[in-house]
This record gives sequence, C-alpha cells and structure tokens, in this order.
Amino acid sequence: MNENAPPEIEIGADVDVEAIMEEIRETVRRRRESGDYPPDVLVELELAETAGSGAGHSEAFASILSELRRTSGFSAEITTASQKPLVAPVVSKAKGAIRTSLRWYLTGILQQVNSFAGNVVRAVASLSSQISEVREAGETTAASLDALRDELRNQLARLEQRTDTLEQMRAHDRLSRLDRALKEMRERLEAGVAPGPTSVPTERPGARSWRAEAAMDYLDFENRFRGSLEDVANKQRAYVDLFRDAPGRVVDLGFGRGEFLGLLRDAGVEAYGVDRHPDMVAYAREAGLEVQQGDSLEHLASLDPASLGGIFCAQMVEHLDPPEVVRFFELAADAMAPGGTLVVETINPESLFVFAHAFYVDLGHLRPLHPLTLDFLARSAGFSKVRTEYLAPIPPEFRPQPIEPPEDGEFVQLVERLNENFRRIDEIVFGPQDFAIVAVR
Amino acid sequence: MRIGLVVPRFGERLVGGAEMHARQLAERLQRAGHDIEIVTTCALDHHTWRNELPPGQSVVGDLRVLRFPADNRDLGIHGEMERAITHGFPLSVEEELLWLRHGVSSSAMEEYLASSPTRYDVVLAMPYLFGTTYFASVAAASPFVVIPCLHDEAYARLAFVRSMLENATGVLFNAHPESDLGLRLAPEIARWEVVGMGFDPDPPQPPSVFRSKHGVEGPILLYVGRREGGKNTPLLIDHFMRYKHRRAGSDLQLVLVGSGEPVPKHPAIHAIEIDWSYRDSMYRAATIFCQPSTNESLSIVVMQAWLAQRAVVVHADCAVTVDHCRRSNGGVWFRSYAEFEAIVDRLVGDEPLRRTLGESGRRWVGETYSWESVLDRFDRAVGSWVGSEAVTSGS
Repeated sequence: MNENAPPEIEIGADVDVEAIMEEIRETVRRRRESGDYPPDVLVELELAETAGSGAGHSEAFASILSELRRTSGFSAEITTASQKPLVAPVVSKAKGAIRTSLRWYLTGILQQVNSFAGNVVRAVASLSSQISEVREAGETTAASLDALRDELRNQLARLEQRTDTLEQMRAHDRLSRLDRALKEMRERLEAGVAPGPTSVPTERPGARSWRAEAAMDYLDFENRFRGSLEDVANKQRAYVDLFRDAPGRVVDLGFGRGEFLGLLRDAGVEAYGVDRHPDMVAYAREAGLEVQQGDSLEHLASLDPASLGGIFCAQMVEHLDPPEVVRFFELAADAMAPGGTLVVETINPESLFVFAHAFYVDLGHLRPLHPLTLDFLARSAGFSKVRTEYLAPIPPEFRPQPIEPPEDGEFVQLVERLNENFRRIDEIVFGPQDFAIVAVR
Repeated sequence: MRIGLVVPRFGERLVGGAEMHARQLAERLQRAGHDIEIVTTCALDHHTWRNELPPGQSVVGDLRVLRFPADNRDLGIHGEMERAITHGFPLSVEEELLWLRHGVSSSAMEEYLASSPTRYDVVLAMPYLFGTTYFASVAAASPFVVIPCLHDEAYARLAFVRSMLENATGVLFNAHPESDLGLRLAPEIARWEVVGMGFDPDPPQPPSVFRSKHGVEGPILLYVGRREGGKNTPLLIDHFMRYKHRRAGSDLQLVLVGSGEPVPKHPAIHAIEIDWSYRDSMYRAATIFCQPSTNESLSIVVMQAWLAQRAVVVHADCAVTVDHCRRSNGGVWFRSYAEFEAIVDRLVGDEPLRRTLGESGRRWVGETYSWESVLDRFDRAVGSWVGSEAVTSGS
C-alpha cells in the first residue's frame, strides 16, 4: 500500500445499513441463545430492549434506567494517578502497589457485587415493564370510563331535551285548549249569548246517543247483546294488570254492569264507576260497587287536575259525537295524574264483520272510531306510550274455511290460490271486533 | 447581505462544535461575498465567562469581530436555576430569564443591536441556550434568524426557546431530526430550513503520520472530541474494555483524541491531544470511527470521519447521528454492549464492508454538506426571508 497516496476506494455493491443492523441483531440473538453472554451483558440487553421498545417510560425514568445500566458494572480498575505536585510519582506508585496487593481480594468481592447489581438491575427492568403494562391497562380503563361518561352525558342531554319537548308539548296543548275556549266565548258574546263555563256545552254530552238509549230498556239490551257477565269479565281481565300500580284512584267511565269494577276490586285496586244509566248504577250498587250516576265528560271536568290514578272506558266513546270524543281525551289528560294509565276500548272499524253485527245492533252507537284517530287524539291531549291493542277475534266458525288441497293433480295450484285469496279477504272482513287505546299520562 | 453573527464567545483557538460551526460559516459566507461581522463578548472561557479580551473592533483570521463586555453574573442564582431545570422543576418565565441573564449575556451588545437597525440586513445568532442568543432575538432591530443547534434535553423545553423560535424571522437547523424536534417544541415557527454547515475533505495524508507520531499499532477504534459524561465517552471506554476482556486475542486499540476526563490506564487505550495539522491522517488511521454521544445536533467529527472514508458507529439513542447513518448508508448504531461487540467484530473482520460504508458516507457528505450546497440553501432561505438579493459566490 502506498502510504503517501491513499488509493481511491472502489465501491462495491450498494450497502444497506438497515440490512447490516438486522444481521447484527441476528448475531446478538444467536449469541444470546447459545449462552455466550455473561449476566451483566444480558441485563444490559434486556434494558436496552425495554428502552428501544419505548415501553411507556417517562423521560426521567428512562434516564434513571439508562444511568443504572451504565453504572451497574463495578471495576477494581480505580485510577492510581495523583494530581499532587512533586509527590505525585510516589503517591501513584504506592496506590498502584496497594491496588495490586488487594486485587485478588477485591475481585472476589466484586464478583459478588456485580452479581447482586446485575440482579437488581434485572429486577428494576422487570418492574418497569410491569409498571408500563399496568399503566397501559389503566389508560385503557380510563379511556373506557371516559367513553362511558361521555355516553351517559349524551343520554342525559337527550333525556333533558326530550323532557323539555314534552313540557313544551303539554304547555302547547293547554294553550290550544284555552285558545279554543276563548274563541268560543268570543263567538258566544258576539252572538249575544251570555258566556258560560266552557266545560259545559249547550247540549249535554252524548245527548243524541242518550236520547236513543233512554227510549229503551238499556240494561235489558245489554244483558241480551253485550254478552254474559263472565264473558265480559274474561275479556277485560287482561286490563287489570295495567292498573295495579295506579298512582291514585281509577275510574271506570260507562261501567255498564260493572264487570271491570268487580275485577279491580278483586285485584285490590281502588276504583269507582260513573255511568249515565240509572239502571246500571242501581245494578252495580247492588253488587256492592262504588258507583255514581252522571255524565262521563262532566265528571272528568269536575275533577281536580291530576287527581285520577287511571281511567278505564270500554265501549263508551262510540256513543259520543266527534267533538265530544276530542273533548273526552283532553279532559282525561287534565284529570290524570302523571304515570296514570288510560284504556279506551271500542269497536274496531277495520273489521267489516262488525258492521254486519255489533255496531248497528246498539241504537246508541253514533259512529265508529278508527284506531288511528284515537291514537292521534290521545297523543294530542298529552298522553305518551300510546299503543293499540286488538281483541275479541271473530270465532273461526264465522270465518271462511280454507279448502283442503288435493294431494296432487291439476287442482293443487288452483286450490292454493283460492285459499290465499280467502286469507286476504278474511283479514279485511273478519278482523278483531274490538280495539283498545292504551296510553300513559 | 450584511450579516451580524451573534455568538457567546469567539476566538482563534476555540474548538467546540458550535464555535467551529460559527467560524466556518462566517468565513464561508464572507468568502461568498457576504459582509460578515461577528458580534460577541469579551469572554473566552465557557465556564467563567470572564471578560478576557478588550471590547470593540478586532480581527480574527479574516473576520471582523465586534466585542462587548459580558455582564456580571450571580453564580448563586444561575446555579439554583440550573439545578431546578436539570431536575425537572418548572420555572416561571422570569426565572428562565434570570438563568439566561446570569449565564452569559451582554447588555451593551443588546443596546447596540437595538440601536443599529440599518447596520445589518439580518442578525444571525447561535446556539440556542445562551443569553446572548435569546436577548439578541429580543433586542435586534434587524430581521433575526436563529441557528439553534437544538438537542433533545431539558433546556430545550424551556418556554423562552419556543418563544424565540416562533418569533424569529426564520430558523436554520443543522439536520432533519433537529428540525423535527424544533417543530415539536415550537409548532408555530414562521420559516425554517435545514442548512447545517459544510465540510471539505482535507488534503490526503497517509495514516502512517498519525500512527508513527503516537506509536499506535493494530486496528484503531477512534473517537474525537471532549472526554466527558455528556459525550458518553465513559460508555465507550467501558464497552471497549469489556470487548478486550471477551476478545483476549484482539489487538484493537481505542484512541481518544481530545481533552477532558482521565482515562483508565490500559495498554490499548490512548488519550491524545488534538492536533489538526494531521487530521486526515488521524481519521485514515482509524479502522472504525465511533461517536457514542447521544446529544448531537450535527456531529462535525462524524462528517469528517466520512470525508476520510471511514465506517462510522454511533449510539442508537442519538436521533441525529442515526439519521445521518440511515441517510448516508455510511454507519451503524448500537444500543447495548452486545450490539457494540457484534458490530466491532463484524467491521474489524470485514474490510470491504468498512470501505463501502466509508465511501457511502463520503459521497453523502459531499452531496449534502458540501459548502456549495450549504451556502446555496442558506442564500435561498435567508435571502427570501429578509427580502434581499443574495450575493452569490464568485460574483
């Protein structure tokens, strides 16, 4: 080699330091597996791997770990150099002699110290890894709790918003009613009629219906056509549970023969009835039920607001004129305590069968009421959780019977189609005879 | 451009990284046609900051130097703040300024910078953690550009650093990892560029000059710089001694060039004073060049080792030097003794690999850190920031 002119180095293939580093790491792995490293090297390796993985150490802790690693090896090679002027050579020599004479002794102790220090460092490294894991787990939990808290906050906000909306709706309902009352009073004033309490109409509620019913023996009529006491009670039994936890007394408006009042009494629910038919009232009183004679709407209007725990009204609203039906729901909403349940059962006009039978049998029925109409009125009056339940299905013997399809042959398809058509007609013509609107104040 | 370059100290024989950086940058900018004036204190010693030189104009090499007396310091206040910072206690803004004020600063210099709005087109200042730099950034009436030479350390997270970087007209970083750090510390830096400093290869010298002068035989693991904990040299010495213990037959020699802490007495460890007159010979004598420091914002000696086509080994915890190695394909890095050992084994025993690494490093330094490319980046960045035409070399 010409020392005066270093040769120009020729470059071989392009080098990739990442690949070399991978080779180096592989070498280290191999040596480690073969047991080539003493404990202090292993400790340091573990610490370096922890630091390299960035296992969540704080900067300060990483620095302490690094310092611990750096100082974990002890050596007997203490310098013997002296800085003292003049005597330095003598002092250095003396120190050197002491060091040499003690080396065998110090080496033995140092082996123990190194071993101990190595174990301490390993323990700290292991602890630090575990702390990192605990911290990570804590962070995950904290994140979950944060998410849960946010979700609860959102739900609360939604509930508050919904409560506000409900309050606004309720206020709006009352305002609308007041508006209507005001308008009515103004019209009456303009017409020269003295303004009276708006809750009392010029004609008694259900007057048209009442005129028809009063002209006949309605109790006898009921006994003939309403069904036996037992049948009616069985039909109405399903409603009892709705009133078990009523937040106050329950009223049965148009209680008829008092079947439901009897069921409520049996269930221990405090209830009373109002009916306009004196015969009915007398009949129920005889059965020991608490009842009073009167008009249902007038009775509701006479109650203190939010004083009722529940209202049951079966087969009554179809005896009212349309404005009275609207009024009924409004008065019911006013009289009902929060949480109280309203049940309004009537004939189901979605079943054409009822027009051939039940509806026109009763002279007091003014017009059928559609489930959607009553649903709307209940909601408009301020009731919530409004639902429609259908009941009194028409017995199979009244309904078209499907034709038994032949096992094979050319009529199989024809019969199936015929049965399908029957099924469609059955749905419209022979639907359940009654429905009930169930709603909560 | 008329440039005032603010540094805490400036002198013929100062060899620290920042001092060399400042001096070489100033010389090159002047040679390229810029009008440079060094603005500094009368102090030379970076421990005492005692005023040793007369204030006023002087010339160092070919450079004009304007000196101002450093302010008196209260070492008690400075020491108290220093301890608080290094132990991670939070400091108020006022306390940070006290720490800077009682480190090194010059009120006279600040008055001068504040009252000379037309003297310079731009005031440059470096490095970041001295009072001269920060107070110049506040006082300068001209556009202010800082060359922070940031390290990832507790000082860098002080509030004044962010404020200085974000309020400067622009920031010149030395390397990409440093700019990443800078932008993490001060996300709203207005303008920045990675410029660094340039390196020219020395005239070739044979390795025998160095070897014969110091009587070192066998393969050499070379380190150049101060021997101190901050530079991680105790770790290098420790690793080397363990290596020699485990590789009893190895004739590898550790040569530490520079001043600083004493080294253990060992026949294969050589502590040698710096003599730049045979710098190229020194680097070429090295089998491997090692930079164990984890706090480098550029590492001049790594660049010089590559210019001498040496394979470089750095510490894995230093983002800047590892980034250099990755970009250049000129060096590798260790995090543990086991990796150090495997690397030394591999490099000492594979001469073609060492040559390839060295040449890759040389080529990268030539492309990225030649003075031509550094000055080009400087002119484009600073020229556009201060809105004046850059003076180009040779015009």
